[in-house]
Amino acid sequence: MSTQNMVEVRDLTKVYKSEGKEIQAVKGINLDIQKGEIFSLLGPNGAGKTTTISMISGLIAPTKGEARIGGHSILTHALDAKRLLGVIPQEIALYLQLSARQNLEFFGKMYNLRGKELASRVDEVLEFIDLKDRQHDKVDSFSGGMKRRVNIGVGLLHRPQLIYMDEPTVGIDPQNRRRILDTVFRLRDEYNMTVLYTTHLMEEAQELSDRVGIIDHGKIIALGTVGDLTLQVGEEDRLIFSIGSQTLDDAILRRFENDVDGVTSASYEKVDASQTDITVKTGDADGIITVRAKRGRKALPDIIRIANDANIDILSVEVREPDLEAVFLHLTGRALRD
Amino acid sequence: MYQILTIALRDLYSTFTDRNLIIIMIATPLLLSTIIGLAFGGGGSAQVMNIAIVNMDEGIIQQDNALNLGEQIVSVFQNIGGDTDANEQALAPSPCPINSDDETATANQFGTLTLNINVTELDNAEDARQAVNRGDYLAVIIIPDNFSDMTTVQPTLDLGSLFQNDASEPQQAELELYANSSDTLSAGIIKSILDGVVNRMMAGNIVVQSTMETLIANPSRLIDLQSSSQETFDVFACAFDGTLTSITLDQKPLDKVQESALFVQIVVSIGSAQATFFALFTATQSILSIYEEKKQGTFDRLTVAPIPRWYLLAGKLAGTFITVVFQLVILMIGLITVASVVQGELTLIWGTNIVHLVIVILGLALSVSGVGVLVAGLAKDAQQAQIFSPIVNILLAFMGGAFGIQVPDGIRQFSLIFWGSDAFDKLSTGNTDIAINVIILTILGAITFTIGTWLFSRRIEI
Repeated sequence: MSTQNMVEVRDLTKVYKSEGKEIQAVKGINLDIQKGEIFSLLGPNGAGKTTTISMISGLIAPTKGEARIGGHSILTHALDAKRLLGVIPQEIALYLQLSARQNLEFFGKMYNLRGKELASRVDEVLEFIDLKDRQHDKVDSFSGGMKRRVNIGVGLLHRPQLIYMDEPTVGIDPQNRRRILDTVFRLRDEYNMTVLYTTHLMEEAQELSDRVGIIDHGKIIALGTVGDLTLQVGEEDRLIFSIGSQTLDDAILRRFENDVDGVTSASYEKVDASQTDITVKTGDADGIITVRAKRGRKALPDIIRIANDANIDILSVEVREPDLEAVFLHLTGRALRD
Repeated sequence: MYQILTIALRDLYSTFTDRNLIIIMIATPLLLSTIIGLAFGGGGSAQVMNIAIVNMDEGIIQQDNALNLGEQIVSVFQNIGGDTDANEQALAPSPCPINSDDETATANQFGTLTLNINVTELDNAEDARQAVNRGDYLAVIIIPDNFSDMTTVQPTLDLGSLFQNDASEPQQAELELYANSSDTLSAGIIKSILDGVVNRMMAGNIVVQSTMETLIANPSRLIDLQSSSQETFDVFACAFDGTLTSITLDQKPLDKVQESALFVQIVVSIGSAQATFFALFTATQSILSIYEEKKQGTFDRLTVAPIPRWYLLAGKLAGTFITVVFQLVILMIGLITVASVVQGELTLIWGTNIVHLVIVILGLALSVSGVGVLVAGLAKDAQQAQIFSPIVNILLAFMGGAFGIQVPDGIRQFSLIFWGSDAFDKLSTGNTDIAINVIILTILGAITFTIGTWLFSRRIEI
């Protein structure tokens, strides 16, 4: 194992049997996560993120393959591996009838903390999650955001080297979401922790990650920095125009391609209104013009002028720069949120 | 070990800080036992008890006076039963010469009893025992032919030293109380009355020999009565006159003894059975909380902690056991409190042998926890366990007598509630012969715990 790697995953496979059929949830994943990096595992719901992480953290046994944390096999040296790992699950995995402090103390004891050391760690974590003044209140009485902070605090008590956060922002308000994302940066920058973050939100992965692994149908289909991945779909922006039920002559598309600087292609399609996520929808079928251009915003005025000359009313415009969504679409033909 | 104990104590804390759980676990059985105790033991309602007496006492003649103590006992029980004809026929005691107040001397000390005892005199002891076995009678009191002879002691001193202990060795007279063990409650009452009668006689070495295993006679106070004249009869008359308290050696008036016995007996029998019944629910719910923790995510959180997986199950099992022990202890104390409040004085209904009491509670808690774990292990999931649990618990409670319904001994002994209640019954009467109860409870607990743990660990994939 490389001394730079906090996590090494080799040929990790999980097969479930259901009603006589074998379902391969994870298909031979290979993955390295370097020390001190924020690594996001991005994929739609059901892609295999949680199953993969559950195997890495020792929650479920792999059918095949192996995972190592800090050089310790999760299969043969599970306790050593687990000592390095802090888990922050998606759900609020706390005893609601206990206070914040009691929860922290209880889970601290599971990591063999006791006495003064336990008390000082609990104080430290309460400070970190900014709940010292509410430490003796029952968790049941907390808001969703506060519960989430305690949930995070429990995972940090034993000062793990690797933190695994499973979609920690699901179902919380923007303010608390921002707070959690800032916490992730603090864990890396102030505590030099390695963060393994799972999400189905492209924006989060894009903002947080040093590197991203995109997972779909139990396989890692792309792996690298956000910049590396977006290069896979090129550097072109996509300009998406909605024209409703108006008809469009192909000649106009050719004018976009030939007369506007930076435009490499233009296409027109009618889409089912319920199947598109464009901003304005007009009627059952929307006419959509998609123009690819290297500098999309610069090309926009010329495109609109040509459309006006052809008496085409543009109902809405959207400029999409290269992003992980586009990468996923490019690789799978599906949107990430589908 | 540290983590196992931490998990167990967290379960205990969560259970005993949940107000709703406390109402179910503690308040409900206490309330039920109190209501049943008051309804049947303190409310004045009549309870019919059929008993038989075989009086084989031949009596003695001393200085031309006939003395038959057996007939005295028959007479007392007929008085309790309200059989006035029999009273007239019985050898009526003479007025107490020590008490000058004739009215008090002839007062019926059993007039305040709320019991209705039907007394039948039989001739043959063996037939009487068979009748009890058949259920014709609740109990039979067998008075031996030499009862009067063995009870009275020939004079060695003059009348002035009437109550002085004799230096000569007194012989022991035995009264046999043969009772049906399917109704320990009523049989206990009969024994209490008989004890009271014997104590009141104060006339020699009389031991009530109970042949029902749950009824072990308290050692009778042995006071030699030096008698050889009419004064003897006068003293016997005093024995049935509650006004002569100077020789009663702190014993209670008989009616008080019986009232106390009835309520306390009910609380002991029903209370211990109810406590066990509710503890069974606690045990099942406690172990099933693993399913809830799995759903809540806390179990997974514990699974990724650096502790062996079996610690989690061990912690839960220990938590179940400790919770049940606490529940039983609190209920035992609660029932003492209830009994003391009703009786108006501190009433240690479980006896005073703390060591034996603790042993019974631990044995019972082990078997209760074992059954709880077994139910959880047999069920496919939490929902199925929620259905199984009440069925099994109610069945065990019914078999064990928690609802006061009589079931044959052969069936009762299959319920841990029987063995627990029986042990508490014994301890309440000062009988410490509980080895068989503790052994059975422990073996039952060990077997069910082991099988239940094995099944349950497979269910939850530990």
